[in-house]
Amino acid sequence: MVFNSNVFLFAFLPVVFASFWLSRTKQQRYLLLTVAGYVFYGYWDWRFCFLLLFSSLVSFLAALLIQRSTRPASRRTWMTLSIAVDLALLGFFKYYNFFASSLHTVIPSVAPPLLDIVLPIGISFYTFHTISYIVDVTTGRITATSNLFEYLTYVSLFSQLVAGPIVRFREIEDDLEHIDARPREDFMARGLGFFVVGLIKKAVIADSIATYLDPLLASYGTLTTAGAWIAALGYTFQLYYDFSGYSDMAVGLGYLFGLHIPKNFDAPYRALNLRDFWRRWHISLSSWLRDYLYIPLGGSRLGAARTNVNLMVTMLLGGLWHGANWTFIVWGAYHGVLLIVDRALDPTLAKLPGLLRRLITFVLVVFSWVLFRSTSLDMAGHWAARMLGIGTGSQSAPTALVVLVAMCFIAVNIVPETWDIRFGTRYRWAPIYAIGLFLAYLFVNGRNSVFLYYQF
Amino acid sequence: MRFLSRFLLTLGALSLLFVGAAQFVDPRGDFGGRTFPRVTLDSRMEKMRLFEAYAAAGNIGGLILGSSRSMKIDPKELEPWLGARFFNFSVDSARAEDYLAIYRWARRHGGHFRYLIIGLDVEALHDDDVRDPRLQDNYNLVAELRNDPRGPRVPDKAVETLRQYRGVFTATYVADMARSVDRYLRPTAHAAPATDFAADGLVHYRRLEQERAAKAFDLERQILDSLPEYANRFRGMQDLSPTRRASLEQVIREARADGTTVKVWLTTLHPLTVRYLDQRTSYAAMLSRTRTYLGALRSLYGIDVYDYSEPQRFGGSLTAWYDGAHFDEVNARLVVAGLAGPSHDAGRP
Repeated sequence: MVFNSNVFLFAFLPVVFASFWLSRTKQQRYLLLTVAGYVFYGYWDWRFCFLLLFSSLVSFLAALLIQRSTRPASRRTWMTLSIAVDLALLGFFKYYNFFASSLHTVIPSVAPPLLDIVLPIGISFYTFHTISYIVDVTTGRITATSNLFEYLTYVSLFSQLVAGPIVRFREIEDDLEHIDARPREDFMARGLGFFVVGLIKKAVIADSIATYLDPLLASYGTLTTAGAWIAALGYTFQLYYDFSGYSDMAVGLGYLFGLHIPKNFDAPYRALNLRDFWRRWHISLSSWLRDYLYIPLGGSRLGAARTNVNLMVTMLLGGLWHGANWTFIVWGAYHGVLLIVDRALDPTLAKLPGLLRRLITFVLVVFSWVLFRSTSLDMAGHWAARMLGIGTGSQSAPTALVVLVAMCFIAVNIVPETWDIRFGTRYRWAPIYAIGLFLAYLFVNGRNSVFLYYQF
Repeated sequence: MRFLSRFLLTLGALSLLFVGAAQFVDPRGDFGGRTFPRVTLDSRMEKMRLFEAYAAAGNIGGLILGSSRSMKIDPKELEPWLGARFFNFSVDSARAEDYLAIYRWARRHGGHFRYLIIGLDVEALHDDDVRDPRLQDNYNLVAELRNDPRGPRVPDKAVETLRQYRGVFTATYVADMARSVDRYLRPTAHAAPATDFAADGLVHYRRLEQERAAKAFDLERQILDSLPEYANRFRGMQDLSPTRRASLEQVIREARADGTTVKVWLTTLHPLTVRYLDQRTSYAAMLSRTRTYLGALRSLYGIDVYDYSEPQRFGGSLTAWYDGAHFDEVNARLVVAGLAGPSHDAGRP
């Protein structure tokens, strides 16, 4: 189920919302949100609900065992076992075929069988939820909950189940503990505001770009240089409005149920350098990678060379997390190298004018999205070559896409990020939100569009 | 909850107002509005209306089915060759299930056909098995696919009505409303509608015909513009759908049981389109399988089949086209002449 579908907007959300506020106790609300999460998830393929439940139960039990263990070694053992189960599931469903075929390419005499595996939607996200929970319990940052339904609610919360943001238990623990609170007018207003803005970003902007961009990229080999640039910029903005729109909707849905979902985007295309970009783009993932991978690897504490290695490993795994394809690995490596260069040249680059630094960062990011969008390295190579004026093509971008790209370029540079909007919470603002939702729905209806990050 | 109540009230009021406006302007002719001009055409709905009127004026002895690629087959050209009054019931993007639904519906509405001519597109047997939304939203035709002798049921009508109202809540519908109002207010400022149908179902591409008359028609541009859409049609096609083959064979069986002579012809694409598709899609393989399949149908059901997948197969012209998939009346006339004769080499490698 997706947020911009009729079944979600007219059946699922109204029913869950009304049932939630009609139920009174914590346990009722946990149960309701858990069931809602599984219905939301199972609507795509009910069989994978068992996988979600298994992963949740393993981490729930492991956390309780960790909590009760007094010896650090046994705490670490339970943590390792639980994470190993999570990673094994992720590895099997997401990466088995990729590694099997890559191995065969490298060593032709080895031919592991390729399996007919369906990638469970959202597995990358809920695996990171459960891992962060286990690690936080082990390190004593949080206390493991003994309420199974509270934990199931956390993992299966439909607002962030399949495409994030990656919410840590400690970030919504307090809200979950007070889930039996009465509804708040300001939360409702903010929730609707975020949801409507997110829907507009997705349905009006991102999907409109996709209408022109997808056919253009279907024949990427014939693009002119200008066409290749417009396509790259188009995807740059499509991805931003699609994913930040989704994140805004998740935040809005959280507010509607009394939960604070953290910020996931902070005007990323205004970043001054690559480090700044990663502090602004998909914040919940980059901070997760920082806290649960980069810092445990040693972070920047072990000298320049080791810092660079840690950066590279983190970005490579970050790339691989997005998908089992060489394009994502190279994309991660590209960012790893740029982050290393960025660190090394920081004193020099810092002297450049701010606008120039922004522009350089933006162009580097645009090139990285070429890798991200390409279905193969061959496609990425052709597309990037056309952008650099190598080769000739005849296919230019449609004027409508050029106009959209120009408007988006202006918007990402001057329009406030959703979190910077001060949503009116007085009831006189309600009609404005209603009109916004109505207009956004005109673009949603009849289109069968999913969010780009659902594939990860 | 004052905020939420006001939000929902506004949303409800806005929706009601909008539905009222949509019903009043009725830019697509869904609600029987007469005040404002229609700006789009649902060929299935339109041809159902035309068929009923045409059947009321006299017996229809021949039915032409197919997609927009068959729309230029002129019923009046067929009449002297085959001695029956024909109706062209070709509809946009027809798939095999459209043929079955339309044949049954036409039979139920007074058609007793001596001839059934099906213009078969290769992608009409696409193995995605996804029905065209315009078929799916047409409860009369969908009911025919269930072969329900009572016709559409009350829940179907209710669902269709809901769908109809839901369908107005789109940006394209708003744009159509605006165009319709604009045409109403400034009738002389607008060109003729792009497409319309004669009483016997024959299509007229008004705008393109005007461009041709004014020598402003650019065939090469038209072909180039149509190529991506056609590549898209074959995306993901790996084989001929067993479900759709069953639908096609069901039409043939029912028609044969009615004593109808069935002629199936493989529709034509411009060679430039074929070349484009060959480079990007499975078209060549699918065409080959369709030819073999049609050969088998000829043997099995005793129908006439004609392979007109390329213009040279009926002596057609490369310039008598509107775009990369739609030929004009010159080529259509040659196809009609061919259809009057025996089978033409389909199924033979």
